[in-house]
Amino acid sequence: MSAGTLVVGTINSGASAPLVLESNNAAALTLDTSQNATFAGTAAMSSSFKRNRIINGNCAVDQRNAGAAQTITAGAALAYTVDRFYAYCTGANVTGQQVAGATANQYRYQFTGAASVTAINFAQRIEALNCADLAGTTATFSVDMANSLLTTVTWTAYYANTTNTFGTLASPTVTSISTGTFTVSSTVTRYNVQIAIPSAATTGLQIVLSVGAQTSGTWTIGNVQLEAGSIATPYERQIYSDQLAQCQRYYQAGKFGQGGYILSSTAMFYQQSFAVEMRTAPSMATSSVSSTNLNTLALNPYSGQFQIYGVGASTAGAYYYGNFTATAEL
Amino acid sequence: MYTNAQYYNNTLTGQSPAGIRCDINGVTSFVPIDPANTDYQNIMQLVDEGKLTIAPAGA
Repeated sequence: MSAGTLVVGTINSGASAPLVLESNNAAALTLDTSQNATFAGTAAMSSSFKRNRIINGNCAVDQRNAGAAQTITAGAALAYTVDRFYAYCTGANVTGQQVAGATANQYRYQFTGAASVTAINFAQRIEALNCADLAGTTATFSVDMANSLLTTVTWTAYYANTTNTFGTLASPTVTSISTGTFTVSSTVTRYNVQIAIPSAATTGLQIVLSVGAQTSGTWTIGNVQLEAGSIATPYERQIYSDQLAQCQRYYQAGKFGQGGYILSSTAMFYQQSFAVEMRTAPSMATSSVSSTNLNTLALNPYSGQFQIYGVGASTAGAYYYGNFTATAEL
Repeated sequence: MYTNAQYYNNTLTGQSPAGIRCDINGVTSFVPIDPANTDYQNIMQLVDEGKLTIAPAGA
């Protein structure tokens, strides 16, 4: 029988028999007698099944900058941008900012080049809990990109040498998995690549996108996805509140406060929960702080909550309040 | 990046030290004694390399 197109309203396997569709002489899709579907390969779906291992891939959550432009300082430590993503550059400072995307793509992240820039990098580290199962398999990385100046974007995948420990830019503790390039244009286009994840890569992954001398123009990135299998499926969209909570495992901001009547030289603390349990006990910073009659002010962070601590300067009313950030990034 | 590091205690819970108070990029921060915290990892690496000293609590 020759190849062709069969147009038919109903295909019936008959009683007590499954319906099997084959490709390349092998069963591809089996519908059993209870109407369950079994795929031999990957089902490329337009709906969400939590398959994206990249958090905030569509750049919608921007807790640190709230859409404002930020300066990425050349040669400095990595700088976090939209949530979960970080950037670093060489040669000269560049500007990065969450920008509006087109139609269904509400947000993207965009770098604006500058004279003397020699490289820009945009990356995410993935916690081992969210990617250890990819070890020893093929994964697919997909991303929307455009560049108004350059035509080459390099991607590189790494895994951490020890669980969730990637080191610093100056002293990285990672092993390279593979690298390659995308040839890009000034029109936002979706690119994908298959990556063979080694069996040793159970310790967390790091995906880095890089460009060279972005001395002018813009580099736009969005809808970043890493998924199991060798098929690039459509970008997985999530409810914003779910995505925000995923980001808050690594970074969150809020307000803290305590007040009361305290005896001189005695300690008091108030315990406050984080919005989301964090990856580990975070580093905390404060701003817009106001306090009275308290010394030795401190915040004691744990993964699920933090203590607001102070020692009474005298026997009187006391308070300590302000804004906080908590960081438990990888 | 990491400057003015000093341990701090929590006399109420008895934690000694409870954490490290230091400036991270100029912002006063409280870093937990937690090997999984990347700031703690970085601080300890700098200490090992002789590039940073952590003052004792209350000093």
